[in-house]
Amino acid sequence: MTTVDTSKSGGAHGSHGHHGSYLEPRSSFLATIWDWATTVDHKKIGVMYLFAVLFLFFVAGVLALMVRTELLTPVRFVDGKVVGQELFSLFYPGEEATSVNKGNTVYNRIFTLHGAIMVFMVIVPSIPSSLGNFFLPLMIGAKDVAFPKLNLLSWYIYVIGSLFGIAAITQGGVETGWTFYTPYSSNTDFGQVTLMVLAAFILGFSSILTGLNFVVTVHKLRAPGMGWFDMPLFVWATYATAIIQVLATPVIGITLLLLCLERVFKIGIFDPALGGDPVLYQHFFWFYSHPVVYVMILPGMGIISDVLAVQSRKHIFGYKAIAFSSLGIAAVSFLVWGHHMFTSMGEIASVVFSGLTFLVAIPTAVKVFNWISTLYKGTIAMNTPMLYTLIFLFLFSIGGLTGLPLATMSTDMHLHDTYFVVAHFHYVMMGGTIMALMAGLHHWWPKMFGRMYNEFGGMVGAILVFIGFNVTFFTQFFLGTQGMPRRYASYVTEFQTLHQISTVGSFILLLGFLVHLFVFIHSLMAGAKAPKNPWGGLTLEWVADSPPETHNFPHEPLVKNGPYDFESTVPPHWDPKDYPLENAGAHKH
Amino acid sequence: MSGSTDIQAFDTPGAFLASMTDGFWHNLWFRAPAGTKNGEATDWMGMWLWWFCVAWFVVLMAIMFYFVIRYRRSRVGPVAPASSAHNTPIELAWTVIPSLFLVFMFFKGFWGYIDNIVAPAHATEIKVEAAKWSWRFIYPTGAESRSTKELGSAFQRVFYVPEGKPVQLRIKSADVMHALWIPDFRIKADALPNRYTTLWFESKPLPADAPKLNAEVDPLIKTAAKDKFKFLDGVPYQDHWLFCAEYCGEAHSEMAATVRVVPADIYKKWLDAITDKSDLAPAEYGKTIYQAQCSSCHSVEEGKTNTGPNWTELWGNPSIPLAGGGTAVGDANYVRDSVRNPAAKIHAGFPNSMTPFPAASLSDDQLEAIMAYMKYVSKFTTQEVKDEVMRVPATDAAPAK
Repeated sequence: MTTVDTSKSGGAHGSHGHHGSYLEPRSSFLATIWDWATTVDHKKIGVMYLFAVLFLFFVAGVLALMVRTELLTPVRFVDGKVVGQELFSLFYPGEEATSVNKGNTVYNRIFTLHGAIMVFMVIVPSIPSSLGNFFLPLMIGAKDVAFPKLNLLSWYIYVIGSLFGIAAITQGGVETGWTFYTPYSSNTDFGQVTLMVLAAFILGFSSILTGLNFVVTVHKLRAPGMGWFDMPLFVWATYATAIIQVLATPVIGITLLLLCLERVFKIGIFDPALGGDPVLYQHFFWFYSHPVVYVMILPGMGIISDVLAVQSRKHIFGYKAIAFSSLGIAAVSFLVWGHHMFTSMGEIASVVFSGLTFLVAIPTAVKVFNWISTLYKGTIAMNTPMLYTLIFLFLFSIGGLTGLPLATMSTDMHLHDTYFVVAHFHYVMMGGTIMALMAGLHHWWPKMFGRMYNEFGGMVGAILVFIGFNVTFFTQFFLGTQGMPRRYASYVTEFQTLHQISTVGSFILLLGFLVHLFVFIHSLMAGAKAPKNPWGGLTLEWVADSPPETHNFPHEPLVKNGPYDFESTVPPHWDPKDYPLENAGAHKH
Repeated sequence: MSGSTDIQAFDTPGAFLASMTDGFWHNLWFRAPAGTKNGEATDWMGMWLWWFCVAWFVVLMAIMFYFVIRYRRSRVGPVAPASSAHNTPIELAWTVIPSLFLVFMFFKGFWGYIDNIVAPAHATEIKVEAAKWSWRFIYPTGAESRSTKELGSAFQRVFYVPEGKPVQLRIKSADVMHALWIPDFRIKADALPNRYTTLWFESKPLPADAPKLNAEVDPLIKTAAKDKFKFLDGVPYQDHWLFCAEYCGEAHSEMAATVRVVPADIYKKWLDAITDKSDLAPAEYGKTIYQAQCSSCHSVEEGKTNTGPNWTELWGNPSIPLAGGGTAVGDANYVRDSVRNPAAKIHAGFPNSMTPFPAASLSDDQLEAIMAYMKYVSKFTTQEVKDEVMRVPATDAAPAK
């Protein structure tokens, strides 16, 4: 245990400090609830975010399955009836779908809600707010974030924003697409656009405050001995993310507010009928929403860097290259928003943005090369976190590479706004961010809840998710190149086979996630007690108890080694025997 | 794109790559050969990128899986031996080499894009107007197509275009944003309400085995008065999808059309034929406008409700309920108001979502024709009136050549 010197009184492995675990319940049920509701403990807030995010992931996932189910058949209106009348009744109780357009509205609402919930309530906050909140302070050896009360406020703002979103859903829904493009969004007579836009506006504040908190925490609360280049890469990634959140989110706030002003008071900003410019909205929107793509993916990249190093017990290859490429991506991400608008901008702007977009490809590619090189001469554990890391590398590589035909202007002219784009961003957002979240969740699950999960179950779930994901989304690349536009409720029959394969895949995906749900519930109820350091990590969270005590560490830790010095450092509290699965045949050394 | 010589000229790696841009792989990607020369260039770029991505991906994954198997823990043991944590030459190489490829992609993509935007000077210009939820091609004579074809779940407009001649599309929207996409031509541009965008294409020669037009493909060959479209019978043609690619609301997925390539001389005859309206009864002319621009929201079948009010209960209706109370009479002023400024009087129970059509986009003559058609479909009008608006004017004008 040379990495850190946690305490002089710390005693032997496994002993607890004088504080109890943060999960310890209070005297009564109500007192426990009150304790959680008013907590300023970053761990509890992180856990609450985690469950909220996972719940909304499930909700938006079900909406996605509804979309896929609708697309089993090419035409949604046969013999005067909408295909899937049951679904229609869900949204229009007591009414009958008597026309193509009315039936389409249901489909349009479902895909809009799927997108809006996934982006604003799931993927943006997913990793930073849940795992970031929990592990950022632990990894830098701090007791909490810099502003614990602000952190609680972020959580409540997130809850309020989500409630607005849910209100919009139940009060008629929205059918503008999650991008709320003007002038359709500002002059459509349908649904609760204002409510939904306000929800996104409110959620933005949660994002800004969390980002602010993290920036200050990283600057001010690192444990003694931890220089900038001693920080785990997850901290670097979360830091880069936080900077984007603080700088970019206000723009979407203002934009959405302008949209509300136009809708409610008919002030002409984006609608040409009122004297506005609709492309201006797209500039504003993507000036935020493109950097936000990196808010979604950078923390995932951080998780992958950490999990990869720990699970292969190997110094991460090119630490500084990864750290700086995170910052590089954060910087360049502000300059590429125009590539969402190649078909609506002027020609010169399109050319400039195409060039800038290629720039972002380089740091991203460098990261992938570094990750794969990290495996070289490591000792690679084959468990769920590692499996998900490999899945991430597989899927994210596809996601990254398929970005190239979209940055290349001549091919983008064909592929823009098609299923190719749908497949591409699902490979990045889901194949990237969600797979990284799953890797991190399994990696840190024992630390968060003090219980091991069933490794076999986890691997089965991961394999199902991997298969389901590829069947669902790889087909969509070909749908797009062959001529299928996105956001279509019905389509020409030529595309039916590919759509059906895709739908089958989405149900395999569901099965995979249900296996995970079962594994997690089983772990919480009957999982084996987790040791302090099941994987042999060297970063500070593995010094803390599993689950950590309320104040994380009995004494402020002192950092003496880098986060990935596996060759020269014996991991604290680590015993390979602690973990039976990887124990198999592991004693040759 | 099989056997195309300019494609071969690009193929520096030789015939090996040529075989990879053809047949199965090309069809998996693009379903069918591109319909234009520029489209072939785009396909070449697309196939190049496909194989570029496949190559990188396979190499990366092969290395990854090799490492995972070679350095698995059960083989290596719990502690990895010391190895270097970075290597400057390798890191420089894997930054610089991909960058060079990116520079190539950027320039190639840029030229391809410009080729699709800048039309040759002698191109014929067709104005395209997008509105919720239909496409209009307004030909140089001001005329519009009368043909339709079933596509997906609805009958959609067919636009005839000349084979092997450059055609420029000047696109605008009457309401929200739309995007014109002709997948076979690999071109797409947004339709904006406050600015024109342009695209152009020049179709490749019709294939020798192209299908021939007949009364089933275009019923006008049989149904048009005075056999006006008879000359289309037996003419070779090729159809291409036209889709809306920017989400625009309820009937976004029904906002489609067919672009039909026919020999250039036939196109000229066809253009003359649609320009001369002497064969059309007023209500028939109205019906062509209805099909193109109104049918996506308004039904003319009794009892059917769509996004907008049903036209069988419109003309002559003494009491149309209005949103916010009151009623209106279904007369010429009501129709005119509802077309020019639809928000002024909203039919109770319907959303305020219709696109206003000013005179610049729908002339008074066209409005008259629509009213004639409304008379024809209304259940409040008498048979005499219906007969009157459906009577082909007995002119001496010779049918168009």
